Amino acid sequence: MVLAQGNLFIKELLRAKGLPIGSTKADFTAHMLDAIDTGALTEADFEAWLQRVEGWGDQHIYLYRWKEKEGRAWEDASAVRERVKAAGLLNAWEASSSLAFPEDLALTGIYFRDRRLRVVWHQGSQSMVRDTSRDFEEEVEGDRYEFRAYRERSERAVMRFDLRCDEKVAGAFLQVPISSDAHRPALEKMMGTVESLLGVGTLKIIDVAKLIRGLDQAQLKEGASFSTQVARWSGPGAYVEFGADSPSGRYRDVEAIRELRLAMPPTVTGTTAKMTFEAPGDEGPARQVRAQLYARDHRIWLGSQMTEGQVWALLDVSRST
Amino acid sequence: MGPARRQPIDVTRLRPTAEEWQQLASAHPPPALNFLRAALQDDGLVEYSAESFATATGAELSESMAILEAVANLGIFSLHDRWACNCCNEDLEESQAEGNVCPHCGSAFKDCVGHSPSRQRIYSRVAAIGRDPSWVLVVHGMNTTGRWQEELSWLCATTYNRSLPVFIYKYGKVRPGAILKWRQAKLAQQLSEKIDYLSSAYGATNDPRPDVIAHSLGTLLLGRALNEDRGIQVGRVILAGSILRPDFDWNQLIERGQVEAVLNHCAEKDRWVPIAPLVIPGSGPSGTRGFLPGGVVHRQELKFGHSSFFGGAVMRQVYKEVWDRFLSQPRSRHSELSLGNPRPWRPLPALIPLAVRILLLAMVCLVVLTGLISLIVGFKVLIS
Repeated sequence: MVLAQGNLFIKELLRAKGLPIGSTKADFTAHMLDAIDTGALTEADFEAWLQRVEGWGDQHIYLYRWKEKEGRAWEDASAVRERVKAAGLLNAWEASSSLAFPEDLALTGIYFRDRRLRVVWHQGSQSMVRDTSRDFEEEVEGDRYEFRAYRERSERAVMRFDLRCDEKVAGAFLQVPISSDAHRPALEKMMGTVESLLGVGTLKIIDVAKLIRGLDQAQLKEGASFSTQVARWSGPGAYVEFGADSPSGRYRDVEAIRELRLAMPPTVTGTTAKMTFEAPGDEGPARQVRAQLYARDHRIWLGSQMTEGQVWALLDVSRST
Repeated sequence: MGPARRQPIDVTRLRPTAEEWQQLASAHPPPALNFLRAALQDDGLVEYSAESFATATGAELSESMAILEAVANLGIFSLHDRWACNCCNEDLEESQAEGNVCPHCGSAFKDCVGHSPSRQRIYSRVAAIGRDPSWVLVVHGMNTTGRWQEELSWLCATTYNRSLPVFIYKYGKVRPGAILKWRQAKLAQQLSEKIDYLSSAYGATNDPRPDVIAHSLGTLLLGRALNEDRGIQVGRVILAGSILRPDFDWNQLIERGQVEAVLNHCAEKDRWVPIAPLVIPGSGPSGTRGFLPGGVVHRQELKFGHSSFFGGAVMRQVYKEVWDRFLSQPRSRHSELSLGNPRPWRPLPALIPLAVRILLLAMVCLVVLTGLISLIVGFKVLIS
């Protein structure tokens, strides 16, 4: 599970504990095992770190505004526990971090800290990854065959629902691919559980078309911590797309294209956008991360592994525009 | 294709010099070269591969590459390679392209077309992006309704590839009233209210701050409005024939965020600016002397008089070569517009302008009194 996380994050864990790092995943493994043997890395360390990095980034996000109907029910943990109990979910309340790989999507924890509610699901899965180092050729009955190797990899998808009571905002975070038949059922399962806790009709999905417009407009000027690589805009029966050739480029840097964009009337709607954000270094390894926004299903996709703090920092920036 | 050649890049050089363009023209076909020349005139990023340049210009691939290499050799373009997976067409970092498997689609590169990632040489000129004026406010001087404003409005509207709103602020002809402080204060307040109203109306979907082009008394009213109402914010300011005092502190307004940048376009042969302090309270000869605290782009035109900026072809040239550049280029390029330096200045002793104004007022009163007496005498004669 640890080795399934990105190298950047494993190095961050080792660095934070003052442990030797190395340069390859084999080095990380060796140093980690040494640290476990000597007690320099404990189970509590792993749990806290996994909570922070596992299942953050490389995911689809749906953002909601929350209309609080019963204020006192969210005042403190004991009040929330009563709601969890009433919903019949007490066995998940404050559950210790799950290390399981359930075959089906399973609710594994409900937590309430600092006026923030978190509901967590896990699901194990297997996938095949290409490993060219094991390819070989063989002659069989006079014919030459090339055998291409794939290695089976066990993974764990994490699904979370986070509610920030003070900010009245919530997010549904899913790692199930959008192209998979399982994505929609997973989201519906999540929202069914959430409604049993929050009540029906308390969540209103945030309009991603407005996010696209706000972000794209803001990044036209110098100084924004994010930029648009590609944005597609639709009118009644036609569309236009603004984009940079380079994947890390910003179309706004090209004067002729920026001028065209400025001429675009406000009645044209943002439909999709690929943007680059600077994930803050104080919340994790500082880096540029890519996000894709889809207005049709009000979805944001983050294409890089990040930490919890970085994901929320990015969402906060998006909402502020 | 070998590894990308690392050219010594001079980040201050945004485009070849005129001589360098001539040399390039002797070796390369004009259409493609002229296309590149026009592209490099813009601020911001200019980036081509040989293929994209050939597509854009219709030139042969070999010609395109030769032109781009020639400009790169001048230190204008930096070179880098762009990699992509031939299975999913996603872009790759160089370190990813050196691996065996695409991190995006999971395919082995050797299983894809070409059996390895594709590689494209990219020529880039990176520069600070230009600025996009939101809307423009034009404020004329006294004793004129400012017919030049119509021409200026047309220039603003047709310079950009989009509609740039221009508001011509008219406050009527102000003759004797300019010497009265209370009248000045009223006009400044009205200007302040107008800016506030228009900014609110336009700012819902745009940058609410106007860029301002002000002339003569208009400069004084603008300065008063900004000083007296800290809520007013403007973008870039162009002053022509300015009668603000040379010790007017633009730096303070810039630090407060009320003003973004200022161009003081001075006229060496301006006869009216030097006498403004004698007649108009609170004024000074900044339109000939410049501003002393600094923080302002100073440009002195040796052959210009008070209204030379606004004559027909001259205004078109001034707008294209100076004012539009000041409004739309990045601040790092403002020094290119400087010409000359502000000159030392000391205000006149207060008694002198006071005496002049009292004399003027006395003359006005005498004229009015004479007129009244004539009227009364004439009326009496008529009755008798």
